[in-house]
Amino acid sequence: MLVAVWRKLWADIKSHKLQFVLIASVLTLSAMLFTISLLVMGSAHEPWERIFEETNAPHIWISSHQYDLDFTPMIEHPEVSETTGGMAALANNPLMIEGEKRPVYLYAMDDPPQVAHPILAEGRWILSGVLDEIVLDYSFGHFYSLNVGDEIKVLAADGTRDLEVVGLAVTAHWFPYNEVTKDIAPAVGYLSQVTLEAIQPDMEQWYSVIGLRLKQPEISKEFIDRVYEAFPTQLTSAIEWQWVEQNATFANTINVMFMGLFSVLGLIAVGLIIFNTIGGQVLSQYQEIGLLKAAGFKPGQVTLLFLLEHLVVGLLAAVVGIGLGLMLAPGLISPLAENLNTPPPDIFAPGPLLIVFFLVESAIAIATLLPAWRGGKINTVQAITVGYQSQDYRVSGLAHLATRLCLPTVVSLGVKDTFSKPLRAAMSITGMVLTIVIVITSIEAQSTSKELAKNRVYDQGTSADMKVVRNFVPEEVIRNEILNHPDVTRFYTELPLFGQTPDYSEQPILFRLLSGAYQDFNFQLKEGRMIKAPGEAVVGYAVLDLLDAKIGNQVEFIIEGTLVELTIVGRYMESFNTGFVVLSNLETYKEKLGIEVQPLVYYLRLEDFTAAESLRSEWLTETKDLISIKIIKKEPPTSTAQLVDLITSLGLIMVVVTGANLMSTSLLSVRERSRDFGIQKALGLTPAQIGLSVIIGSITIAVISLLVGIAIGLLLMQEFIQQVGIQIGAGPDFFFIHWGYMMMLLPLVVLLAIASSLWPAYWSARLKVVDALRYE
Amino acid sequence: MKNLFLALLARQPTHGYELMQMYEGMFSTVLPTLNAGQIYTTLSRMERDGLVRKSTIVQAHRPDKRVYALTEKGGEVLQAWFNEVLTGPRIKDNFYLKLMGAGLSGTVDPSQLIKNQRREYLQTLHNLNTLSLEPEMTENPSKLVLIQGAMLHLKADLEWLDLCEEMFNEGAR
Amino acid sequence: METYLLETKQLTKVYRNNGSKVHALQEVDLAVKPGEMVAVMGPSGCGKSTLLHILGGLDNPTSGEVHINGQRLDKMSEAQRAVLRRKQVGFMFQAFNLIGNLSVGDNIELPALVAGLSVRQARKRRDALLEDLGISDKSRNIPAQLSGGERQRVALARALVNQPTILLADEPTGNLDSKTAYEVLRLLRQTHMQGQTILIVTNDPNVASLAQRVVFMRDGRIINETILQERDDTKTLLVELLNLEGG
Repeated sequence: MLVAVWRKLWADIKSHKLQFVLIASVLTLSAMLFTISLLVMGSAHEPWERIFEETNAPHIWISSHQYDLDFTPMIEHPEVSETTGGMAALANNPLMIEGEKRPVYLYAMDDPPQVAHPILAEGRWILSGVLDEIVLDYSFGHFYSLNVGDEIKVLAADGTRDLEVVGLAVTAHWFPYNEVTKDIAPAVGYLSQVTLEAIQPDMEQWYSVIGLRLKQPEISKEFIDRVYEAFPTQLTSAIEWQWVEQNATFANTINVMFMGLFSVLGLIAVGLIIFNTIGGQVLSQYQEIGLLKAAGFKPGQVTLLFLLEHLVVGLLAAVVGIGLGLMLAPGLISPLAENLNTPPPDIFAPGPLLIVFFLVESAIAIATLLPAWRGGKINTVQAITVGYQSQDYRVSGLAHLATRLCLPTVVSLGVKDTFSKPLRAAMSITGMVLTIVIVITSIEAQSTSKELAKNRVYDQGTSADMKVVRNFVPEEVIRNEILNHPDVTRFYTELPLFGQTPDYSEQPILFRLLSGAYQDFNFQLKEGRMIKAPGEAVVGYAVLDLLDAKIGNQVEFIIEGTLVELTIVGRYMESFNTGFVVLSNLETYKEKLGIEVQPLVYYLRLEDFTAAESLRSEWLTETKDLISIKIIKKEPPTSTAQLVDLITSLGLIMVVVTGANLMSTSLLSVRERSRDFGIQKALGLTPAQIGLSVIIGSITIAVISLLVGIAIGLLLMQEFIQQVGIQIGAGPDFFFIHWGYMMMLLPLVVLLAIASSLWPAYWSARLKVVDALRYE
Repeated sequence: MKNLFLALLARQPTHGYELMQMYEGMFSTVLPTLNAGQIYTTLSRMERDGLVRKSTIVQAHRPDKRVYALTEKGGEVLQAWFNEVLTGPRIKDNFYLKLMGAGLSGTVDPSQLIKNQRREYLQTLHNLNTLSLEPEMTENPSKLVLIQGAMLHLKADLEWLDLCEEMFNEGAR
Repeated sequence: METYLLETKQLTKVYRNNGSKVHALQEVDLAVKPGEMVAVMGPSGCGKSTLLHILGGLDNPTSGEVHINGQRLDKMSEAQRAVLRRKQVGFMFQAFNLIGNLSVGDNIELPALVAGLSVRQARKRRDALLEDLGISDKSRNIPAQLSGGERQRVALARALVNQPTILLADEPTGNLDSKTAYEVLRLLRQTHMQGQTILIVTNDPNVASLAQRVVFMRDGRIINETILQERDDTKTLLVELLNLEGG
């Protein structure tokens, strides 16, 4: 049998070179795509949970401003299984990065503990007792492009101190540091005890910290209550893991959802393409099958022969494809991994590779089995005498339609030929639709993220160019500075405050109390109108959701311990604080609480955005670095941008696979129909017309796929992005369709169809009538 | 002729005139037309040989009717005719002898003979073919089958001519 | 000088097969008059199919001339020949060669549409031909659902739809049993009687004998030709026949 398989394979390859090249390349590209998808999925799937497991992270972090607090009662508590032991930490000595103070938690950790042991991603761990070395959190380091060997300044008790970054480590200690979390969560760094002492010699300023692992993780909240009871005054904070998880995973939700959707679509598309390519090939050998059976092959053996033949091709393709995938994957995955705060996955892990192998081979098996089984059942006599063509030709509805529409003869011939094998046409279309859906996904992901960036949804819903926080500089000073500066065209001010709902639910709500020319700034209103008078509020989607309220409702909040009643007049798109944000007038505060307050933050619009950099350094020098200034960039967060890039590049590979598939399908059907072309030529069709009809058939498939793909893609994306929008609190109407790109798809898809059918068209145009009609 | 009459009488005893009409109806275009005299001569010769028996049916208002019926001996003769199988291949031995003779004599080119003969056969085939395609033939399958039989023979003859020609061509080389 | 619909001069076709030359046609001179029915007869491999292909413009001669209705075919490009075929040539093949995924009606209409007739005109001609050939009820069927005889009728209808100058038929009854072959021959004769010029290539004397003129081919050459006479007194033929056979 093996000899027979080998001989047949060899003969097939020799007689259908191009066809085999195409099949092999479709399989190879598919294997590559599988590999990349799986690796990416593995890397993006529940990154925080994975790190939590791998670092043996504690369920509760407890910190105290009392540096010598005795943690023994906690360590010996029956619910506690393991602890980090007491650690010294600093919280008030920020790092100086790009001229800005970045809050950081610095832990003395000469030796990484068993619990919460960070995983080194780059460099080495600090040397015990060595001065001025620091290991930084991986996400933080990458966010500011800090590498091993860089010097970094820390604000010490006596001026600044230079630390050398010796390593970057992944940790589930805290949130991953990124665009969203950077303003709410400090960074994390690990130092030696001596370095800690050098930065802050006054031990009264130290904190003591311990991490606890519980036997029953789900009781962490109750456990914290008990800890507070036991240490009523000594504790500064107690953080439990579920809260961290919620906040840490939030940032990745979009990415993971995108990745998952994409990988699944990709897998199905590739599977379909394999099915189509191989299925068509087996059926094209209809006559050969008859001969094999005549030569004494049993139906089962015929099936086996075809199966083995393709499995051998698949084997070779899988090896090459996996190799290519492994070569490409690191480049695609590493940036993503950085942003998801996971170490790059182990590329050479045998698990995913075996899965790819298995997937490719089983896809081939499934794809081959049905046609091969059909092949085995072929009536021998019929196969030898008439060949396949008279078997399942029928006139499809679409073919009839082509006639009805009185299309030009060549067009209608092309369309009819395409749909004379309805199953194959359907499979081609389905495969291509999935590809187009993926391409549309990437286009929409691109345009949505660009649109969001343009509307600054990532930056508190404003369209400002610069954000100034005055810190302790008096209000009038800053105001005068801004008012008198020629570069500033408009500005509004804001006092951010955290409040709650009256039921004291744990969800903190950010109140942004506005004054000044905020009406001129583009808040992304989705419903209702902007605030006008005191007592009115515009809220994020999450607030409506939490309160189960509607526009026009009167709702109550607790601000600074006082019950405040506000009328909701509108909803705007806001992703900060997962959308738990209320916009109101600064007057509201004065009116409701009866206290005079001053704004803290200034949002400016500049005459010329390029002047922002010089303005910033000018003001920083003037105020001796006492204020913070941020230039609001017009780019989406890097992680989203990278994910979008990844989807786009995978989409491109899919397009290549689809093109190869289209070509292989086209070539197959052209081969099968060589006799028909001969007849058509005999009836007076010119070579150009024959070629054109082949190309038109291919274009028909492509255009139908495009239309269906756009419809499905838009529906899917709308549903999907709606979910994402709700998840991140921006609201369900968080969706941008880039019609310009959609329009561009049409010529591109048509070009792809033409490119992939060019060779089949040429082949059929050059076909010699006499050869095609030769009677066998 | 005799055997055909026996076959007709085997169905039922028949009057001489009816016999003539049956014959006309079935074979008019195929066989030469018979006149009443020929029929009666044949019948009386058959009666003499004991193959048929004549009986007279008296009719009240018409002349008496003479009816012929098959005798036992007549039945046996008819059966013997049916049982007799046609033997041997039929070859146009006339043409074969002519062809061989031409080869021997050396005065005539055998291939010319073949050509002439082929033309003749084809012409006959053409005649039969056009006749067989006449619309009336579809209603007359017994005639059609006769023509087609003849055409098949001609086809065979033509193929045989090809063989003869091939033989002479090879001999000439 | 007599005008011919179809004329070849010194037509020669040489194939190269693994370095050796094969002379499929050698200096063939053939002329067909309007309304004539000519049969080219010969054993398989004598070059008669190659001759038919070249006459129909499906293949190019190595040398020599082909004139069809005053146009010189052998100098044309493939596309030009295709355009010429639309109006001038109708083909009938042994293997029917209907397009499997087109309905019977569409098969017949196709050459008309290609030749630039409007859909309505094409439909009109199609219906007339279907009626003529007695297959009106099969218009919506696909070829696979038809019997061999019906398929060859569709092929004939398709060949005739453009009212071609000449109908070229290659072993039109080769794939049929004798009964359906008889039907197809009848239709061919009927077509000829309506004035259609026909050239048949065949190995079957029955088919060839239908023609007015039979041309014999051997090894790529025309070796002989016979003109067949129409006989008026077909009635007496049968009598002769039985005598002849019986005698």
